[in-house]
Amino acid sequence: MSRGCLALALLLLLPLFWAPALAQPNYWTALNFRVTFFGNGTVLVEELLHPFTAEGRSLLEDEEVEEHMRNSTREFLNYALLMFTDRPDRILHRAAVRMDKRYGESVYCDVSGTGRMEELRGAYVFPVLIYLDMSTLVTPLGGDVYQVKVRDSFTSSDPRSWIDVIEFRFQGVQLVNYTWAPDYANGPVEVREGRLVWRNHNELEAPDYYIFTLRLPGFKYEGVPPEVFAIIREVVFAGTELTVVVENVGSISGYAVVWVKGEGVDQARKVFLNPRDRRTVLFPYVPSRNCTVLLISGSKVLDERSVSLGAPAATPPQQELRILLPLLIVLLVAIVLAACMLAARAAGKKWEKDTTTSSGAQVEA
Amino acid sequence: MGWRARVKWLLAALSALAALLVLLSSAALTQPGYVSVEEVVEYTVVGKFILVNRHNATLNDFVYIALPQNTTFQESYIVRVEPPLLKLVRDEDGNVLGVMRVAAEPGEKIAVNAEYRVVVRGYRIRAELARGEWPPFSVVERYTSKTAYWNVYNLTLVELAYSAAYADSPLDTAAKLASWVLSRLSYRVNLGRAGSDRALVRVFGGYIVQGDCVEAADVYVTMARALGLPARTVYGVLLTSYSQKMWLNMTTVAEEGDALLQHWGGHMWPQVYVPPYGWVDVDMLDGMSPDVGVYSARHIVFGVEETKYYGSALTSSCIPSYLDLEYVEYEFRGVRK
Repeated sequence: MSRGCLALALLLLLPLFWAPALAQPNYWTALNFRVTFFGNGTVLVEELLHPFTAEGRSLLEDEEVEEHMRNSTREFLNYALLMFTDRPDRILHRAAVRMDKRYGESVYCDVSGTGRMEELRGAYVFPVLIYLDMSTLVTPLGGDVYQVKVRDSFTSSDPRSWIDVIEFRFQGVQLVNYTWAPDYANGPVEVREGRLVWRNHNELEAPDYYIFTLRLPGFKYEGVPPEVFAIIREVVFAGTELTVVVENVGSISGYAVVWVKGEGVDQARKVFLNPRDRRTVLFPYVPSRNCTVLLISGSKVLDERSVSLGAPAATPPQQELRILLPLLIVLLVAIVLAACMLAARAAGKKWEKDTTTSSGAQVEA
Repeated sequence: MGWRARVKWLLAALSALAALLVLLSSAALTQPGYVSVEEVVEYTVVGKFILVNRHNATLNDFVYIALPQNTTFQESYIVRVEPPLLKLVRDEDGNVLGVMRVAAEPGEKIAVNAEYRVVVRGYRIRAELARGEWPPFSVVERYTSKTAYWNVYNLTLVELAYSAAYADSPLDTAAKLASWVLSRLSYRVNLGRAGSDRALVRVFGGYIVQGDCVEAADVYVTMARALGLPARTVYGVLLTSYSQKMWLNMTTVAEEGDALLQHWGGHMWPQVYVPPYGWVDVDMLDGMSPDVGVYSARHIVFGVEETKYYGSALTSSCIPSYLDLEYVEYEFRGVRK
């Protein structure tokens, strides 16, 4: 369920969202999703939406609400994409141009928190086909087996919102395993061959993530595609400073990350590169003598260089002090102790000599 | 006292001195010398929220309440919350929220009362001791991406960032950027959140950042991320003194404009990630100074925004689902320790 008039952030900072909120119709939207996985690694997300009032009155035929719903298509597309990626701008998808109003569908929701699912007849339907090969929520597990995390993008955006009913279907896909997070959320209420259904009465019971292990026979995971085609032009190691010059040799602008890896070294800087741009990236303190410089864009390594420096890198002053301070103190204490013991021994001998010469007999201390 | 007794006493004293020195040296290892704690303030925070049912039905509602967070420089304790919390939950960015359930008849008002104890340590980084390093790859990947309010692909913002603040070290980058944003800030209370795209406005002679703390923070975070410097926003309150009362009447707030500042101190500011310091605060509006890593104990952190595409819906107050929030009040009683 999502609160329609406050679909965007309500901020109680200095700015407030009240003015636009007052200008919009105050309604809630029941959210039912049908998610169908296909063996080729595509997913069809069908969003079924039904607006209603807090009293449970349907607003499916309300013109003002309909206009607002249709103007929110972009947001609903983003919610579908965010179910499968952290980067909705970098995932392939195909979406309907507009929402379809269908009277043959039903949408279910626990209206006003009574603990009972009510049927709301008719729905705005918005289908989106998503290609998982660029998803950031897919993890290859070996062979044709993948872990796919499906995020409830509504609860992720606003703690008050959640998907009321979500149905997963698997066509040409073998469901190997499934789980959900957090563990205190409810599990599926229907488990059948090729079908799982969750009915969530409130946000606390609704999972934040639905996690599947799937065998996808016709799928190859690519990862996030590179934004630019760039190379490492130069790497110079001088003292503890490492200078890397990178150049965009492609025709598109975008980001690449210069990553310095080595024993005890993991430093990276992302840079924006226009076509033919050369950028000098300095790493002021690199303590390792041998390291690798990687140039990465998206999930791809574009270029790689190994660098080494003959002499061991010096430790920066504050680190040197922090490492040496306890050793110096222990050494100082040892010297003082040794000096004291020597002094005590010398004093003891002198005292022994003094007592022997004065009385002719040793005195017990 | 005989000589042997004296020697034993001397040895015991020296051993104690040695133990003390070793303890001091290990303390020097665990307490980084490159951050100095300047002030410690213990606050009693009393919050009051009034919710109202404006509908013609009895409503069972979940109410989400923002809590002061635990950070390196803030310790937070819940003293009491009424009605009692049903659960503590953690969002994707790691913020802990309280959840309570309330029922309200049509027209009924529900009061939510909360009390916290918060210890805040104001600090200053000692940049002369550690120049700062670029962060690990995983941190860069996580905290430099685009969100709805931080469009790192806005070419105007990218070009401005590189011309104003591209520097060799992360701290220099952070400082140059703070100077740039502050010098171009055209402050006015903004009802809503413009995001960095709309906060940057072209005027005669260049660009300005138009809006309040949120817009300043959003532009800063976007430009820092474009420069490869991991950044996020922190939300909470900024007090003008250790003891202060603040309130918001939601029914009149839209008409108030800048007058809001006289009785409300909700605040947002950026942080950048720079090893070995970790997250470093850059509150340009506290004293209108572009300082990096200078943090007063007048800040109370209620959460951070890191990766959520649409930011945080819940900031420093509470949000019901069906009910309406009508009034918010906080009283801060701080004692310097």
